[in-house]
Amino acid sequence: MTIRIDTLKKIVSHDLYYALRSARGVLFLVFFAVFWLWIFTKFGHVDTGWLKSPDSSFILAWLFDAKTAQSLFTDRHPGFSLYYLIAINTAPFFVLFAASDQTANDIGGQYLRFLLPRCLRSEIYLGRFLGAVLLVWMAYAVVTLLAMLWVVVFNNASLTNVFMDALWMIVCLAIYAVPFIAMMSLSSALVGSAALSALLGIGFYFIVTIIVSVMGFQSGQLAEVVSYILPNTMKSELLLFEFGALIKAVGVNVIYMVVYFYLGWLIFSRRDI
Amino acid sequence: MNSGFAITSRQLSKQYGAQFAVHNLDVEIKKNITTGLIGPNGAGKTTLMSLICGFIKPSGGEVEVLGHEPDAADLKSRVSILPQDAHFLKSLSVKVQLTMLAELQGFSKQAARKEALRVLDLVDLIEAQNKLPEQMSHGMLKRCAIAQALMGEPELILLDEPTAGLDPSTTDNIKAVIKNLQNKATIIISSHNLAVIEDLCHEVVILDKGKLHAHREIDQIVVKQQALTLKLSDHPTAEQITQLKSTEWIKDIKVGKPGSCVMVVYYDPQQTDSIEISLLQSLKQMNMGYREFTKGERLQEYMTDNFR
Repeated sequence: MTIRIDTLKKIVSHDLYYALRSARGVLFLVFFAVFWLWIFTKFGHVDTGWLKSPDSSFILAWLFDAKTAQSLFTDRHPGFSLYYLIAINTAPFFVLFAASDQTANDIGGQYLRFLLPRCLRSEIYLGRFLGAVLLVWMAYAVVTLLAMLWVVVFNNASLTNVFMDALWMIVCLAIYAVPFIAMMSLSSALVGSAALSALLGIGFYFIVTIIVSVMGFQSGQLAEVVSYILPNTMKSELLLFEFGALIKAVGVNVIYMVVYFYLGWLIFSRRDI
Repeated sequence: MNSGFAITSRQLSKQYGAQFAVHNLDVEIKKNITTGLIGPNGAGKTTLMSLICGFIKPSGGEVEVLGHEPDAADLKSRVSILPQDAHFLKSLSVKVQLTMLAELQGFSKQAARKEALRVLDLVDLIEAQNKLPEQMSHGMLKRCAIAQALMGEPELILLDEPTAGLDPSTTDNIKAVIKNLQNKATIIISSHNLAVIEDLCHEVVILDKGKLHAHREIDQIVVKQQALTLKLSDHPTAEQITQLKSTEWIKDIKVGKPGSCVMVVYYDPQQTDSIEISLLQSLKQMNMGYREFTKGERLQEYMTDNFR
């Protein structure tokens, strides 16, 4: 896989420039902004203090394990942790949508035929992946910082307490999102339209999730094995706010990323465009 | 590998299902000349261009472009193409898009902007530089696509149907632009507009059903010294043909399809010096009017004869 760094940088910067002007990019940013604005307005109505109380521990320990519940709602500001929970649980849908058009529309519209005399396929494929990664990272960094300010202003959190948590959350969300983006690299190399790519990626995610849930009733072990197809197996590790768990999540998610990215590359490098 | 060839293909094939778009094609296209790529619909012209550019992968055989495989990094920015059906990005002006493409070609940001404006000027689109692709007509988009193929100093330029959808004045303009490039680059033009091929190309590669039908100098096909092509007012009758054939200096006469009003007269150059005047006099005597009079046989007639 030959890569010319200078060309790669240009592809990434062009991709980001276009993402902020294209219908797909704007649609993602609008959905994302509206969703979080709506969530933030609800924060004012939630008694986040209750999440920290002993009364809630029983319910939270049932939803998560006791260690995760303590890490989220006792050791740090519960309102901010609530943001993080929502962010990490909704991330697959936003990420799958945001990263749906890496190469798909350009294959369909044959825009790649203008690029290929100037760039290598490897540069285009990697450049589009990195462009999507940066777009998603920037979106989550901004929304996490806004959430931090929101809980400081409206939920009486202390800035000094939540600032480090905010940085940790940004890193965790970034790590969590990357394999999903690689999954969409594969999806968008398969089809010739961003909408179809998004449908394929989100459909695949839903179908596997449903299959795992149904199988869980019959064979928990088999369901666990099947669940490893999706790159969300490290979600529980990322909720712990522990360095060891973070390193484990990085390792596993790198493997997910490499597998999905490589499968997509095998298709993109060989396909007619 | 002979360095005198820009493109060499050996047993090159591209198969879609059971159908061969290109089949065992052996062709060598010389450097620094303009070569036409012609053939009826489905002959494999666009497929061959796509194989040369690495857009599609061969099912068999190989192709070398300037001594490299089509995907090689060494070829980037040395080869440019006007693809037939490629679309520009929506929501970015053509100037911005051409600037981006120039940057990818190795230009600095500022130089890329200048280069974009230079090529837009070449295709008479300088005033439309800030328009979005969806605000432009088919002809304007075609000119934009031509503009991107003219950026930088490519050694090999491939133009797939460069004049399709353009008005006659713009076609002339594009032909002039291509003529200006002829001493600077190897050019391959695929077109159904055979007049453009005749005007611009030194050699012609004729494909038929994915195979090489002929690869010759254009002068060998368009017999300029021994034929006159006429577009008549009315299609000639058998009687008129017989009468003309009886003329001493006429060797043969070929007539186009009924209703085409085309007639090619082959003559013996040894027998008369003022052959054109003699022919016009003969036509007048027989009350046959004409609309066009061209020296030589037209490529159109060659193609019609061979691909009826």
